[in-house]
Amino acid sequence: MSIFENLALGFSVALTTKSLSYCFVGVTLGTLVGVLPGLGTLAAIAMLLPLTFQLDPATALIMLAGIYYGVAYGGSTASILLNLPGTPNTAVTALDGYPMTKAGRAGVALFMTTIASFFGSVVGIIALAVGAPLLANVALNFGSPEYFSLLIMGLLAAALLSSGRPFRAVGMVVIGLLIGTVGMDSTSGYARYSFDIPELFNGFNLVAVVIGLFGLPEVIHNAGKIKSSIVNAQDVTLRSMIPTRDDWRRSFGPMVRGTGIGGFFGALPGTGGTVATFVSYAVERKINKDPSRFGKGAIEGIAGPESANNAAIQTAFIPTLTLGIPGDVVMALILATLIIHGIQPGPAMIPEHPELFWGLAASFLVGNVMLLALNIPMIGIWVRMVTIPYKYLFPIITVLVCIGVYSISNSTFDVWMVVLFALLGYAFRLLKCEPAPLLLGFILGPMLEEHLRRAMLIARGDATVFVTRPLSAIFLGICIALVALMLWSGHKQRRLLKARRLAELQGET
Amino acid sequence: MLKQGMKQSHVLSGLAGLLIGAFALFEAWNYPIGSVTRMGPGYFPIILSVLLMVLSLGVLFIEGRSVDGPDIERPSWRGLVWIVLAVMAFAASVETLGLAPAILAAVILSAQADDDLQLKETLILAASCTVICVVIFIYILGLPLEPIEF
Repeated sequence: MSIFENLALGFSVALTTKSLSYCFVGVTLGTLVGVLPGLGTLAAIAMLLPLTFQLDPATALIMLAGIYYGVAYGGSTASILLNLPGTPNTAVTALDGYPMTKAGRAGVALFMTTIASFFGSVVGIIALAVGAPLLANVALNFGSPEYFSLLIMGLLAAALLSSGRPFRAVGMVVIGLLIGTVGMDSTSGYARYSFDIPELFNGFNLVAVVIGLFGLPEVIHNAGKIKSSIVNAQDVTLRSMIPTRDDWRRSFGPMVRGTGIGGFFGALPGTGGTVATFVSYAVERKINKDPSRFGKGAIEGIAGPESANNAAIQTAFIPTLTLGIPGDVVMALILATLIIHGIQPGPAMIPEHPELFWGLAASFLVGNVMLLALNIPMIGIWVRMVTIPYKYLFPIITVLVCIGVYSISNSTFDVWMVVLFALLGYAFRLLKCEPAPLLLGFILGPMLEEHLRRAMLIARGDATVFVTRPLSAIFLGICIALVALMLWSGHKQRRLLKARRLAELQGET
Repeated sequence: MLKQGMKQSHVLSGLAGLLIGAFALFEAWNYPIGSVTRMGPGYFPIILSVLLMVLSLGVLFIEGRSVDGPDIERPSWRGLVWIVLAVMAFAASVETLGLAPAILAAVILSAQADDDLQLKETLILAASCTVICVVIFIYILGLPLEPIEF
């Protein structure tokens, strides 16, 4: 099938009334979640997951994905106006976006982030439509050894690149893998770590784990701490949004570079939008003629990272849909949704379910156009939303979390599990242990074990199969490089610290 | 001061990891382990628990050495106690007393986490939240629960 036929198929799925309305619901909810601090993308998607169970997989995915990229648009609003990033991906935007608000240029900042996001998304969607089928063709030759090595690479990359504490991060992955083994073992039917509790035979419920680890600790941390906001709704008018010619000129280069950076990092398994935004910001500051403007309201500092973030969000679907390996935790949740609907993501998915893949890609385009409309002419509504005091929000969020989790299987057991994981998640937060690698481990664990078993069965227990198959060897080589890089930078850091401490000691005497 | 906090967080994370690993290993020890070619249900968990314990030692002895380590964040006890109590109250009452009392309890309990919420505000918030949620979730989305159990 040619690309035009594929696109026609995609739009025939994406432009039905049903898809359009669920897409609209998704992007609107996403923007709302992004604008309101204290819930987060993951918890929002997890809560809405049960609502999508009775939908067909394409519609369910269109809505959940809409929430995901909608949050990216809304998150920058809170970053710019309040210096309160709704998501880690938009933290960088606050660096220059908030100074622009203080300088009375909030309108321009909001407008430019929307344009940059749209630009990054559209290029990212094109990369997805071109890249995913190509990668799927390569991946058709993957056997269990390749998948095992690729999964190890993805988990390791996610752990090492997201935090400066390698042992802790990899440890969290392993805890996640262990939690993933709870329940009936798929091969032998043996109930592991279940302690004769029948509700645990199917393992922990994904939604309960996500809400417990990510949603509630956020609420616990913020309750009583986020006080009322400073902007008033009249500040942002349509007229104040119009950028000057100079703004356009300055933003174009960063947008193109940011999109390239984002597209690259998004497509790598294990890394995602957050890394891309930081890299893009660093690049823009480095190549700018006057780096001192950064942090004081440089428009380059919001245009680059915003395009990077949105391009990464789109290309992150490439490894998720073609290899079944998610780049970040939200993608892991999307992957889990597919599995719940009985679709195994992998190289065979595009040929087997072309309407799903192309429909999803087309819906991204539709959804981004909707977001353009939601975020420019209707920005006033969102600005008013930002000013809703958090003290009214968090009790409502708590109730919605309870009802959402109860509705997964109409049992209070899952709600009690949320309590358990919330305590665990809050403890992790206090100990500075990132829960994101744990969740990736939890979701990918069963797949990892399955491929390990199959690879060993086929190779008759000969572990060299992982290095004698060339692609598998390449993936493991990258793992070793990652570990070496981590050890080297850790060593350098320690030496620097030691030198600094010595200097301090000498300064004191 | 700061140095002590940093050590605490490393020691606590490392010990917690060791404990979880030891527990997982102790439990998995009873599972059939199988062989390399035919892995039993115990094989993978045993590898993982040993790996976790090794990594925890790394947290204790290697990561703990770097000085720029994290400080333990001061826990927000108030938020923790009231939000967790709210969710527990919901879980305990939703099937025995009904959805409306469960929501009322969850809103009123969680609201205690913020000083700024006055009693009147809390009650209005709880009442409106209850009415809206009961209408949406029971009457529109058909959640199989009663508003109030008798």
